[in-house]
Amino acid sequence: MSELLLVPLEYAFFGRALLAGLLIGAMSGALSVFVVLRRMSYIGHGLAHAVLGGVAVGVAMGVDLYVGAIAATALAAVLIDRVTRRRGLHADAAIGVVTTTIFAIGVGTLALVPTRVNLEALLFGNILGVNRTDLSVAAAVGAAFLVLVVVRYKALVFTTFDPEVARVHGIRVDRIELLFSLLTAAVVVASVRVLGVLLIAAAVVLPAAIARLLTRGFAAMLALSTALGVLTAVVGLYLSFHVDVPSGPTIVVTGALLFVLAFVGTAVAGRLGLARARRDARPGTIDVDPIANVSR
Amino acid sequence: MDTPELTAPALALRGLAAGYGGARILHGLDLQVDRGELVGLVGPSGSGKTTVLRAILARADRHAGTVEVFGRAVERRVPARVGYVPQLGSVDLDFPLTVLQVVLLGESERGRSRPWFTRAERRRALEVLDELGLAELSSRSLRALSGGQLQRTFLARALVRDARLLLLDEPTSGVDLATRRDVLATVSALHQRGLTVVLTTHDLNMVAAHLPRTVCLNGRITADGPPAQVLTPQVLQATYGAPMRVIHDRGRVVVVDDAPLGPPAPALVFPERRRAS
Ligand SMILES: Nc1ncnc2c1ncn2[C@@H]1O[C@H](COP(=O)(O)OP(=O)(O)OP(=O)(O)O)[C@@H](O)[C@H]1O
Ligand SMILES: [Mg+2]
Repeated sequence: MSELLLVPLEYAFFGRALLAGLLIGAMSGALSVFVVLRRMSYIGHGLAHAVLGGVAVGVAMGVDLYVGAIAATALAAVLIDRVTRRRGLHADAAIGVVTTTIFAIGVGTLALVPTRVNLEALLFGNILGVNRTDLSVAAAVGAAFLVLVVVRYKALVFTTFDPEVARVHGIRVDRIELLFSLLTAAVVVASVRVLGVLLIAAAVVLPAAIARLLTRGFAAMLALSTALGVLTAVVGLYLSFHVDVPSGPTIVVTGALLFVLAFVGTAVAGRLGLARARRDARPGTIDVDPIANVSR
Repeated sequence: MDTPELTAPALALRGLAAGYGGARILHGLDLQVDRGELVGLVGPSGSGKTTVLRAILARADRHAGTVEVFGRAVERRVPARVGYVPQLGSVDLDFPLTVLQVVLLGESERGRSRPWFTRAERRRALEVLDELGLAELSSRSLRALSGGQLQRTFLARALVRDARLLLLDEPTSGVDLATRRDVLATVSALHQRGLTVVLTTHDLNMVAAHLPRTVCLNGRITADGPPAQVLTPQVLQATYGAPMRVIHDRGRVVVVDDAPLGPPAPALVFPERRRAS
């Protein structure tokens, strides 16, 4: 057993991947709480496609992979933010319009300018490829993410819950929303190497979806979601090493299995609770607090 | 000291024209609300009641005129000391926050970059919850509250901010008669403590029975004054574009929808409209 855990660590690339995975797992886990509660689950999907567009254009222009990725996602985040503000358009339409366009430009560029991009690694994640730059990017994004979420915690929660009233209470809702988009973009860029473009969407949704099923309070949801992000990343990376499957799929499938467990577990618990309530409600013994029935 | 903040009216709209983009909803509104007043804003659906509140909060697009709150011109920033309770239905009741946490969010401004709430802030939130009769419910989730309790929770969130002017959008809509009384009693207690309250409603008889001042709105202000003077068939025709009858009953007025089908039951003559949006 301990061999399964220790042997991979003898490879330097795996140590780097694990470290990057921990950082990315924690960030995407925490971020997913806001993503899910704001019902913007497709933002990860969209921004990841923008990454691909940016990488393609960047590589064609001969600049570093990250330069293209950062430029494209930052642009996408700002444009999504702008388009969403236009009345009648919601975030889903904005994400669809903006990120697909950048993706299309990237795909077109790849066709026009022959480049040597390892498309599979980009799409599905590749732990073999995690280098020092990737680790530095993950660490830098992680530090900025931590500081901003801590310093803007109340504003983020208030804006997510009730933007109209948050504004009345002196919160710069517009700025918080832009900040949220940019944070998401940063997490997406940092996650591409480990998760791959096509699978990032799941990583910024699954942890919060599981945590939502299992917790009631906001802080608890945030803590559990962060922990789940780390757990799925670590388990997924080991799986990737041992079964020789790209890391993106193994991380996502690990998360999905946990989701199924939580989903079935809470459903069974709910049924048992209902059965108990019915058993206890034999004639003459009914003493039902109507509120208790509503709350979960 | 004779700063305007100490003597100015709580709210002054002068020649206010506002709307959304190029569409004008409010035409030349003049309205002054003094400190400590309790004002009911009535008018048909789409008459701009919510837009008036949003204009005060710098949320609607202003075309002309001025808005002053406690003597300060409202430009782009939301004025201080204003509490806003929007119509219910705009927030997710399953959001993972308790009643206490929702109220605490109202205090976010002071320690804005501190991710926790201090003991003093908690004490203050609990005090306000206690005042509004919600102390026992502080750890409930919003989903587990009745309509009246929910309104009081959002009132509490406005009050922890030390609001002196409360803007309440249809606080008594879509609730039963007992809850309506519950909400009104709370509002009236706050008014008695010296707060200025402007609320919108569809319930003309509630206005007539409980509020000292009524403003009728239909894009413009069609009447303004004590309900007994304002709620006349002429004004109501001008405001709602429909004939209504006004019955004088022991010194107060009761408005009835002048339906041809038999006599209406006086207590329920003007049911609140179910809003589509
Ligand atoms: N955000 C918005 N953008 C554009 N038009 C709007 C917006 N909000 C409201 N309107 C329009 O402004 C007009 C006035 O709306 P408002 O919500 O102020 O009416 P109201 O008197 O509050 O109605 P109700 O009693 O139904 O709440 C309506 O015609 C409405 O369609
Ligand atoms: Mg309205």
